[in-house]
Amino acid sequence: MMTMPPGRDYGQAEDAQLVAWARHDTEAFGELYRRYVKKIYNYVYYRTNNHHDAEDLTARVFYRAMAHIDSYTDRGIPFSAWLYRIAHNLVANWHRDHGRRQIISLEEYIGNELPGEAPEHSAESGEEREALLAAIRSLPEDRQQLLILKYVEHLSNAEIGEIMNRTEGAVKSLYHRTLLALRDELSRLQQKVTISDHGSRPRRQKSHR
Amino acid sequence: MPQTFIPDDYRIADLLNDYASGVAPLDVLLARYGVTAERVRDLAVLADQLREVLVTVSPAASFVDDLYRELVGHKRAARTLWGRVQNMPPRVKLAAGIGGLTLTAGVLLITVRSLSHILETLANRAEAAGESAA
Repeated sequence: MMTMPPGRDYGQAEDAQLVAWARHDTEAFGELYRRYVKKIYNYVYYRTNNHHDAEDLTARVFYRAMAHIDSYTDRGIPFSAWLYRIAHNLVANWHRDHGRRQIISLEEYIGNELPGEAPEHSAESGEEREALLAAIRSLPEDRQQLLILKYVEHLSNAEIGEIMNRTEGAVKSLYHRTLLALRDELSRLQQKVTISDHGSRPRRQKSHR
Repeated sequence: MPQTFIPDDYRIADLLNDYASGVAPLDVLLARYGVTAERVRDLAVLADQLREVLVTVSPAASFVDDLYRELVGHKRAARTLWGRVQNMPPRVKLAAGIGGLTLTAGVLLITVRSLSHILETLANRAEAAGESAA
């Protein structure tokens, strides 16, 4: 059984200090885990679209981080960025193993309704959300990653740059291009839906504010 | 403040990044970057939709707690032999102790018997050599 070495205040310690301790002290690693488990889970969840795989991959991220913590050295890459890179690699392997990206149905998406969401979403807004999620999933990996880090994790461009190994300017530019691509993809999806729905029921076109 | 030589795309990218970060309302950013609303309105609407859809999710508390216990209880100390011995259950430790003692005793017994055999052989040879010399 591990006991806390004297003079170690895990809650107050910076990541770099915790990493140094974590090489011989699992409690220190536990504190790092507490700090980042939800962030990593969110990242993985939005890349896999289901909670089971998100849990499995999140666990693998932390096991891998613990196994390789001796080899982690802070060369300008924060521990959090290192974790996200592990997560990114594992998710990439997961997608490769699954052959192609999963496109979940609207019913499945509603079945996986995200915690904390209001239940009064109308069918229309549900369809819009599904369309947007489908469009996001059709983007290249790096663009999906950028959107998740920006909107779900609320990271700055500088932090995103550290994870994605790009400059802040490159991240800004990528974000702009991502929005343009997403707009085009949504428009393409809407056209497709309108054509397939033709004759079944009228469909309201999305109005831009 | 953007300079006049910055191409439009960069200004729009800066504006959209500021908008996504919630730096200021859209109309303020439009004035700041000197961009017309028509050029970014649809992208700003898209950014609003992304903010609504890409919400933070919470993992199950049981998953978080179980994984914490697994990780912190993980036998990192088991990298060394002593660490492995320390983490063994008492019954295994007892069995390992008895096994170790038996093995040690066996090796000692064989060693002693071999040594005594060698000494005996040497003594016999010496005795035979003495008799033949006599």
